[in-house]
Amino acid sequence: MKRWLVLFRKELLESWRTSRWLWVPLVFAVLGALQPLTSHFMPQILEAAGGLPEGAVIEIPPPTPGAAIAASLNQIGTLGLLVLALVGMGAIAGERNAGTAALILVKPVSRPAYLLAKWAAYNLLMLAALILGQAAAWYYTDLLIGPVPASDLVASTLIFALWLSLVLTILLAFGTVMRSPIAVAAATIGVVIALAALAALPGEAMAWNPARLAGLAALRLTTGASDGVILPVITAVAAIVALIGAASVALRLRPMIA
Amino acid sequence: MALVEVRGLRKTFGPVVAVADVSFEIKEGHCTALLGPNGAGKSTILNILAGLLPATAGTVRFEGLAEGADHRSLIGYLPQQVALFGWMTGLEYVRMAGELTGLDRPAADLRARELIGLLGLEAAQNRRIGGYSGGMKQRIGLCQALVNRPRLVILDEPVSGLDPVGRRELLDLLKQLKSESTILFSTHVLPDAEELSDDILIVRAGAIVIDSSLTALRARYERPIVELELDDEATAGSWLETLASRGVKGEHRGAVIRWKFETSAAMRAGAADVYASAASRPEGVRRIELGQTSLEDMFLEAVRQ
Repeated sequence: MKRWLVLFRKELLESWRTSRWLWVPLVFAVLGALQPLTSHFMPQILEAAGGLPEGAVIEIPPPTPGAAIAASLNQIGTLGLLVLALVGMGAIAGERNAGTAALILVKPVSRPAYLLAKWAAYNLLMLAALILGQAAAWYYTDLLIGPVPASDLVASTLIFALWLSLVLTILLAFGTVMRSPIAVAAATIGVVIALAALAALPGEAMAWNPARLAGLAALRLTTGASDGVILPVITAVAAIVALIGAASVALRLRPMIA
Repeated sequence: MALVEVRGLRKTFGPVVAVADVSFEIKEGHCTALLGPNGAGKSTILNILAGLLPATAGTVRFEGLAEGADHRSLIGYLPQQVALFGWMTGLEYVRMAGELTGLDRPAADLRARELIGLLGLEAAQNRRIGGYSGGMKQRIGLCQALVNRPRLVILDEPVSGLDPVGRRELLDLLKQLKSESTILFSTHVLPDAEELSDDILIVRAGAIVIDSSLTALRARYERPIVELELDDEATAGSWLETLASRGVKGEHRGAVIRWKFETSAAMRAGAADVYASAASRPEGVRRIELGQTSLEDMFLEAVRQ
């Protein structure tokens, strides 16, 4: 536990010194704020852009407050996720290639401690960025469109955080078996796209799919309901635990020297 | 008493056999040099000892520990390529290394400052490692290896990347270290091995071909020699011929002729002949030298066999 904490502190210091703590939350905040702003100002934007025939009347129904935040969550789920993948792709593969991992693992440190320190640090960064993004979305929605129940906001954040946490776990797990950071990011995004595509299938067959969490978080915001959330939450948590276990084994089996 | 016992160590990477059935002991308090040409398997052996590579077969046993038990807290390891976190300062890195070996923060801080002082890096200790020179990184690497006062220090080619001044400094440091620690280091620089080590292990193609103390090795392989250096390689043949007719057989490499003898009595007789010939035709002779075969000769002999 104590050595885990040393490694966790190292991870936090690293993401601080490499400015990840600055720009990841910043990207999420911008993504969060942009959606309510653009929906509110859409008529003015269209007018300024011009190109509409004289006298044309376009009625854009203003989005409900919940839908505005759900839309920004959707942005975070694509662009934000991409940023997380790019930031975390080198977490293990990069340290292995550089040889810095060897110098850590030659100390009496357990493989799971090494892995969990990274997992916790990246999740903390993700959580902070997501909360900031949601806060920005909520602030502008409340200001420009209308109020959103705090309970829906919190619940959707938690559901969405679990999904992003699973993505980070997949990213770290790929890092233990692949040498190239770019391949790690690509493989992770491939898995995410596949899961999301499957989750979009109609019917109950995909009720367990953790990629459903993204849609369920949005649904909670637009309707206030969270039916069907239990099953994907269970699979997501189980997958996170299983992936961390498998990644620890992979770290032991695959030499950590360049 | 052996500090480490290695038995039947084997490591294969797919079809490639990097280490084939290697057994040796490292004696407590000794400095052991692992010698061998590039690609002989030196780094692989050291990485297995450091716990970074799992062996395909065989055992590594530390004194006082069960076979195969985690011995990482007993060792310090300096890899060939010292890769440190460039965004950390030297002090932070060594302190973290100390904490990872189980020291609490104040103790790790104290030990880190002590080592950094010993290696003359105080002035740079609060700067980022990213801006360090190669020699400074090597010294921080040594600090992190020594932070837990290891019983065995494993150094993989510790001087290979350094300039002559840095190399001299590090060798002097290792000499100091020798008195308090057991050291195992790999090198292909023979004079370094000769200067530092008590025991010599020579590896060739993944197998140990010589395992001996330096003194025994000297006694076994050291032979008296006479060397004659000429101005011109072209005349070497006639020199060898003249002396061969008197029963002194030699060989030449470039303009240097060398006669190797089995006993010092034979050497005395042979040297007398060489001196006599040189005295009779001194023109073209640059130097004549009596001596002993060096570790390099033994090494070349051992890896060629």
